[in-house]
Amino acid sequence: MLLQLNNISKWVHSGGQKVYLLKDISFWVNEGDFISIMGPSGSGKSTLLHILGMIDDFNEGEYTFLDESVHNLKEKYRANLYKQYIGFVFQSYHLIDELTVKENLEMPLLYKKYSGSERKAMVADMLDRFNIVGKKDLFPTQLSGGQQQLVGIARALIASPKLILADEPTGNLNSKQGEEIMDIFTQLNKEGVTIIQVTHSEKNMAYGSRVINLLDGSIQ
Amino acid sequence: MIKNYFKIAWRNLLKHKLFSFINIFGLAVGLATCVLLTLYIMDEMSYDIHHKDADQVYRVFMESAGTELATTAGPMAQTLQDEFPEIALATRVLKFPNIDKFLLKNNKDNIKLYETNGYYVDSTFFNVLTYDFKYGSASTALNQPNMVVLSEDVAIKLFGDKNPINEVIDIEIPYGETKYTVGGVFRKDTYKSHISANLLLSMRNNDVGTWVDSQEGILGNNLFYTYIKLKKGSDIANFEQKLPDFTQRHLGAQLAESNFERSYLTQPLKDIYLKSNMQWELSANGSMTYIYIFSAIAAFLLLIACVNFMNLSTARSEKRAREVGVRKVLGAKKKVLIFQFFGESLLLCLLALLIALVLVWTLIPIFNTLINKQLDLFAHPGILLIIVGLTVLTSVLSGLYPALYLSSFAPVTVLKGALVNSISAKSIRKGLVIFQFTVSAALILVSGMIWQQMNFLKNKDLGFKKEHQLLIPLRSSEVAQNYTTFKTELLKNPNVVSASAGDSYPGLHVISDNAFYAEDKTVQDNVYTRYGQVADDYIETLGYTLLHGRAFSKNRANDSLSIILNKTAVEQIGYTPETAVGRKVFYGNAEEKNHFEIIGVIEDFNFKSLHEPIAPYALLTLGQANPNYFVVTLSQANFAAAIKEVQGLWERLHPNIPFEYSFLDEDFYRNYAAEQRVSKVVFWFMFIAIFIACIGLFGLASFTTEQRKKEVGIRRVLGASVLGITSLHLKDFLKLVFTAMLVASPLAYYIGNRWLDNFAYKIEISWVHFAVATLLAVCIAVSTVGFHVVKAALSNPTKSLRTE
Repeated sequence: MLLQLNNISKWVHSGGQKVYLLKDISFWVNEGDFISIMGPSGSGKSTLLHILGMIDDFNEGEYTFLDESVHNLKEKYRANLYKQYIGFVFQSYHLIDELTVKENLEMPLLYKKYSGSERKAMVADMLDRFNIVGKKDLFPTQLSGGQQQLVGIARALIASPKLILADEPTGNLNSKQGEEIMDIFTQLNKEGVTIIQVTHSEKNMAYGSRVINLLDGSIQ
Repeated sequence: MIKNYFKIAWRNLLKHKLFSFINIFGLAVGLATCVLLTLYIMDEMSYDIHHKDADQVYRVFMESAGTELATTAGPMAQTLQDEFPEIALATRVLKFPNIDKFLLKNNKDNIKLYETNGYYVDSTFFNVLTYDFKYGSASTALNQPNMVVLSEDVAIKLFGDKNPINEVIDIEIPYGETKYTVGGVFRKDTYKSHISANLLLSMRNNDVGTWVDSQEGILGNNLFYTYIKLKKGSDIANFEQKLPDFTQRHLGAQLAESNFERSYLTQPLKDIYLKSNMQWELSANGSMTYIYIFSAIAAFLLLIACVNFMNLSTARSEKRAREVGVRKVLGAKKKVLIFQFFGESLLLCLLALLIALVLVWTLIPIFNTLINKQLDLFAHPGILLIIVGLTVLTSVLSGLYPALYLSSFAPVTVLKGALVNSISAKSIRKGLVIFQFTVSAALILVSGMIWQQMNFLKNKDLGFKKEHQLLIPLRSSEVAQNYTTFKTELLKNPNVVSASAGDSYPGLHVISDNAFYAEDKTVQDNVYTRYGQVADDYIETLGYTLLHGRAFSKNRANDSLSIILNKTAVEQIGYTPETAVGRKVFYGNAEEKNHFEIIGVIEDFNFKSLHEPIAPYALLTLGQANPNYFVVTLSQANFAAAIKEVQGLWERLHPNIPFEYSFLDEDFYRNYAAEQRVSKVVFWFMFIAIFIACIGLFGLASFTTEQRKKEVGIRRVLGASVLGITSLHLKDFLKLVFTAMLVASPLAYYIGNRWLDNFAYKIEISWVHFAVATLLAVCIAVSTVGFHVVKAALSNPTKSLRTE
C-alpha cells in the first residue's frame, strides 16, 4: 500500500461558522493505481490533492504515506518525503517563464543535491524520453500548450517519483493534445508509476482504474 | 544552483526593462552620491591625524565673557613651559594682523609674486607638528633666524624644479623688506592640517621679530596660537585644572581692576579642524555640523533609492509569486528562496555599483568645484572597503523586505492564482513612498529657506555703500607711505567718485580693540569696542551716515585725539547720540585717564558679517600709521574702464609692485563662503533626491494603473468620464504627497531654524515657504504619475475587460 487516509477533515471559519472543505475522507492507494478524483467545482478535489501532496494541512484525521505518519511529521521531514516521492503536474503547467525547457527540467534536481553531471544526464534522458530534445533551448512561451504540459510532466517525473499528482492536466488543452497527454499517463502507469488525477471530464476518468467522487467535501 | 539564480535574475532584468532601469539607475545615483559624500567626509576627517604623537598635542585658547579666542599672548608659550613640568614642548604660530599676502621676490631670476597663508613660527614648530619635507628636514629647516620653509607649489613658482635650499628670497610686507633663506620645502598634499600654510617663516627675524621679542606679560596682544606637547603619561585634564590658578597668579590683579574675566583652556590638536570655531581662527575650519548634514543626506538618498527597489519588487510580486509556488512545490525551502532573492538584489546592486563608479568618476571634478576641494577617488584606500560595504548594505537594505515577503507565499494559494497583493504590503508601500516624499519635501523646504537667506544676505542694506567699491591692498611700505600721492592723482580722473584709505574695511576681521568708559563712570564700566583707523574722506567714501558732529579733518594732526563712535557704542558707553559730541571717553587704567574726544556719531552699520549683531565700533585717525587698504568709489557708468585707468595709474606710480584689487561687495559676501558651499550641495542633492523618488513613483504608478485597468474599464463602461478617472487615480497619489508634506514641515522648520540661528540677521520662516513647497511637491508628483494615469483613463475599456 502506498498511502492511506483515515477520516481526514479540513475546515475553515467563515462568519463564525465552521465550513468543511473536506469531511471524513478515508481511502487508500496501492502502488500502481491510476485514480481519478471527480466532482463539481468547489467539491474539494484540489484541496484533497494538495493534502495528498503534503503542501496543504488538514485539521483532523490520519495520513499514512509509505508507513510514515504524515500528520505527525515535522515540516522538514514532510518536505523531504514529498520531494523524494511525489511529482506535481498542474492545469496551467506552471513552468517558469524565465527558464528554458532544459533549465525547467533541471530545477527540481537543484533542490535535491544532485551533482552537475548527474543533472545533465537525467535532463538529457528526460528530453529523449519525451522526444523534446529539439526544444530544449526554447522558453515556455515559445511552446504550444500541449508541449508545455509535456515539459510539466517531464519535470514531475525527472526525480523518479512513486506518485504523480495531476490537477486537471488537460484542462487548458484541446482534445487532441489532451488525448496525447492522457496516453502518456497511461504509459507511465504501465511502467509502475502511481497516478492520482483530478478531472472534470468523463473521458479522462475512463483512463483511470478507480474513481473517487467528491461532493461538498465528502466521498459519495 | 547559484548559476540558476543569476540566470533567472538576469532574464528578469531584461524582461522588465523599465523596472530594471529604475532600480539600477536609482541605486546607482544613490550609491554615487554616497560615495562622493563619503569622500568628502573622509577628507574632512583626515585633518591633523598624521602628526607624531598627535594625541599629546593641544592648543591653548582663552575664554572671556563667553567669547572663545583661539589665540593667546606671545609670552604664553614660554611661561607655560617654564611653569609646568608636564609640558615637553610649547611652540607658537603667529598670523600677523593685516598681512594677508606676502610679496616674494627671487631677485636672481627676477620673479615676483604674492602669496597668502604665511605664518611666523618658532624654531620648535616642526618638533611638535609633522610635515612631509621634500627638501631639507624638520630639524634644520628653521634652526637660524630669517629662514623660511616653502610649500612645494610656492617653491616651484619661485625656483622651478631645482632644489631651493639655502637660496635667498626677499619678502616684503607693509613694514619693510627682509631677506630670508629657504630652509626647507614641504609637500602640501600629503597631510591635511588646520594650519594651511604656504610659507612658514622664522619668528626670529628682522621684520616683525623685534615686535615679537618686545612682548611682555600675557594680558594683551593676544595674537599667538600656542601649541603644547605633553610628556608621555601626563594627563591633560590634570593640566587644565591647574590653569585657573595660573591665570590668577599672573593676571589676577589686572583682571580685577578692569572687571575682565578670562580663563585659559586647551583643545586637542586633532579636534581643531572640525570642532573649533572660535574668534580669530587661523583659517576657516570645517564643521561637524556639516559632516552630520552631509552624512544624513547621503544616508537618506541611498534609502530613497532602496525604497524604489523594495516598492517595485513587492508591487510586482504577483508576477513572481507563481515562481515561488512552483519552486516550493518542487522542493525549495524558504531559506533557499530568501537566498535567491537576495542574490537578485545583490546582482542589481553590483550593476548599480558599476554605473555609480562611472558616475563618480565623471562627477568628481564638478563636485570638487562645488565644495572647493581636491577629492580623488583613490586618495584613501579605505574608500574601497567602504564602497564594498555600502554595496552590501544597499543590497541587504533593499533586498531584505522583498526577499522575506516573496519567499513567504504559500504555494497552495499562489498556484490557485489568488491575488497575493496583501493589504499590509500595500500599506507598507504607501508608507515607503511617504518616506521618500518626506525626505524630498524636507529638502525642498530647507533649500528654499537657505536660498532665501542667501539672497537676503546679498541684498540687505548693510549701512554702507558696498557697490562699485574697489579695494586695493597696500602690501608694501613704498605704496603705503605714498598713498596720498596716489589718491591725489586718482581724484583727477572723472570716473573716480571718491577715495580714501584705512587699516581695514567692513567685513574684514577687526582686530584693533579697546575698552572705553564715559566721563562720569569708572574703568569697571568700560565697553569693549572695536575700532578702525582711517584717513580723511573715509566716512564719505564708504557711505557711512554721520548722525551728529563731523568727520575727521584733512589735517590729521588736529584729530589725533578725536574719536567717532557708532550709535551702539555711544549708547552702551552711556551717552545719547544727540549729546555725545564734545564729550570724552576714557580708556586704560584709573591713574592714566587716557582719553579721546567724541567729534562725531555715525549710524550703525554691519562692520562684521550678518552672522553677528552690530557691536560698538569706533573710528580713529591713522595718525602716523600706514594704511593697509585703499578704497576707491568708481562711477557706475564706466566701471570696467575705470578699473583699467586705476590700474594704469598704479603701474605708472609703482612699476615694481604688482597691481591687485577686489570688490567690497564680493569680499563682504566671502564671509558666507561656508554657507554658500553648503547651500549649493543641498540644492544639488535635493534635485537628486527628487529625481530618484520620482523615477520610483513613475514605476509604481505604471504598476498600480496597470493593476487597476480592469476597475477603470468597468468604471468607463458604467459612464465615468476621463477626468473623473484621472482625478480618482491622482487622489491616491496626492494623499501620499500631502501626508509627506505634513511630516516634512515641522522637520524642515526645525532644521531651517537651526541653520538660521547662525545668523544675527535672518529671514522669517512663514507659511509662504510651506505653501510654495507643497505646490511644488504636488506639481512634481502630478507630472510624474500623470502620464500613466491619463494613459489608463484614455484606454479603451473593451480591451481591458476582454483581456481579463
